Amino acid sequence: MNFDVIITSDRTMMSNHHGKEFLGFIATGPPLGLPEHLWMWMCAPKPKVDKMGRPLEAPYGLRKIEASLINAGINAAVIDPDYLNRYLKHAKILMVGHHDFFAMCSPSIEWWLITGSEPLNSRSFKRFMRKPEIREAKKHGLKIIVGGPAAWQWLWRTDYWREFGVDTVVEGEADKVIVELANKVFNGEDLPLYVYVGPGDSPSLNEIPDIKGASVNGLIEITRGCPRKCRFCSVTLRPLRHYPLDKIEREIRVNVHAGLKNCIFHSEDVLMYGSIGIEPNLDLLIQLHKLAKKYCKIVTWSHATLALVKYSQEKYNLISRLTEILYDDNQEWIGVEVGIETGSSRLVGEIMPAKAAPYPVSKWPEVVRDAFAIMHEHKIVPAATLILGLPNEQEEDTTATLELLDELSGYRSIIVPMFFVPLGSLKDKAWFLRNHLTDQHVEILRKCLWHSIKWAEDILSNMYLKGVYYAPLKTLLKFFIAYVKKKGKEAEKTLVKLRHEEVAQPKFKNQLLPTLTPI
Amino acid sequence: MKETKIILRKNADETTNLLAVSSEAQRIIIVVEADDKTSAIEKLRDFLLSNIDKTIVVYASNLGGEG
Repeated sequence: MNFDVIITSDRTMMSNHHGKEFLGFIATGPPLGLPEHLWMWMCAPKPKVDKMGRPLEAPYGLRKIEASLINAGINAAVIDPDYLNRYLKHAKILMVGHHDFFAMCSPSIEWWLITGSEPLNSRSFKRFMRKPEIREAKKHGLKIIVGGPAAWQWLWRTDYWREFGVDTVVEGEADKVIVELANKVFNGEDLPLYVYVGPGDSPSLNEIPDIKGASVNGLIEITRGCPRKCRFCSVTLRPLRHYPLDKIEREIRVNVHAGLKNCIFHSEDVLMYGSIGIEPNLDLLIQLHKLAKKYCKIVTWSHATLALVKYSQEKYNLISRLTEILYDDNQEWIGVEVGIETGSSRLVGEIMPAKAAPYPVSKWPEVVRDAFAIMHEHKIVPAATLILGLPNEQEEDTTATLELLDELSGYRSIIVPMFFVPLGSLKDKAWFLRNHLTDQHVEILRKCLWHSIKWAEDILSNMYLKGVYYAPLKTLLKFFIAYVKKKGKEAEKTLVKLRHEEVAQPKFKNQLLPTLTPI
Repeated sequence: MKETKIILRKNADETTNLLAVSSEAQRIIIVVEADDKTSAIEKLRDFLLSNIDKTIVVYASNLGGEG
């Protein structure tokens, strides 16, 4: 069987990460201390595929593209990157999606800038695009369309755009436009070089298709968009849409039918699901969690906001009620991504004025601390982000962040400091690079390193990767943490030296390109 | 939704005027005359990076050699 459209990505994306979504983030780091193939095995093992090379689980975004094309009557399929050779002689279009093509998102760029070594995700993607079967098919007229959350990176890397022969870059929600582009190829029309789908052309709920094949680790969207309007974020530019429960149930059933036993709700804020304004919709949230738990052994959240963790628990006891639904013999904790971004109320007011709502921005540090306490008590483990170098950041702001970090030290969490990357309505601002680090930034990096090591050991010993199946992986991760601890003091010295070191960073149009030495 | 089509000639430096010309439109189609595809994008990079709210579709035309 042949397909007209092949949808795929490189191995760091096309993997179920051993069934543990968080392990996929290891691909944002460079392969240090261990051989690269071991790193790849840790974060991105090959997935199960059928006899045609179609992965059992595929990234949710690729599944949406596949569904849009199939619904339009187009012969398309998601194919594992190791099986492209079977199809590219006959395929007309190769569609490639990615979260971080060139390691320009945080934290990839940060690890790259700190260590000087290119992260796995970028290495893997470039190897993938240089595959002989893709190069050969390109010579014979294959069209290459790339997209996904990191599509903006191609504007900075026109050198790779040229090298890889990319025909079209699609930025934004592609559910509708991808069908138009495929039809252009089939009709022999010119493809545009670049498409940016503005908020006015975002698909309505009815135009967002249900996935047709299982998604990685059972991840499914429950909302799109975000009303908080943080200026550094691109998602917040899009209108907020809540999937109805029947749509969510249909997608859960697709995953369960494929044999998956877990579900990850994807939303910029799971607690915002079905809300009117900022007020949580208790009934709908409880129905949602009961619905998922009816089908799945483990149900987790992608993201939550700290303001709603605090507000929904203090006003409605909601966190207690939801965890009572979720926790049983199969599940005793939740991992979730949250954004601290800064300890400075001033910066929150300037750049993310709705982040603390319904609380005033002046209460931001208190919101963060209280939300962390609530999560700690309810065995919800946050992987929290901080942003260093937000536009107009002053010394008083980094001081506030350091003070907040001290207050969070007793709460089980991983805290990842990230360098500011210009996105959203700040996308024309300057990158934050390592020669911009101040002594206080270095102190923040140091505090986060030791905080995260301490709690990673606790999480790995008591909560994560239980069972014989995970023993080799757990051993490897323990070895890595021990290695980082041993090198910790050395790493601290490196951090102090960071901002004084000369680093080769090519200049481009008054901006410093964030990339170092490409492989 | 208001749509605008703009053609950028090969030797013209019109990109700085793009935002002003297109301020009313929510969907902009830009045809860029350039030597090759990526030069067309590079010519528009600042404009594309500054846009957040409009749908933009960029085509290249009169490509010199690359096609």
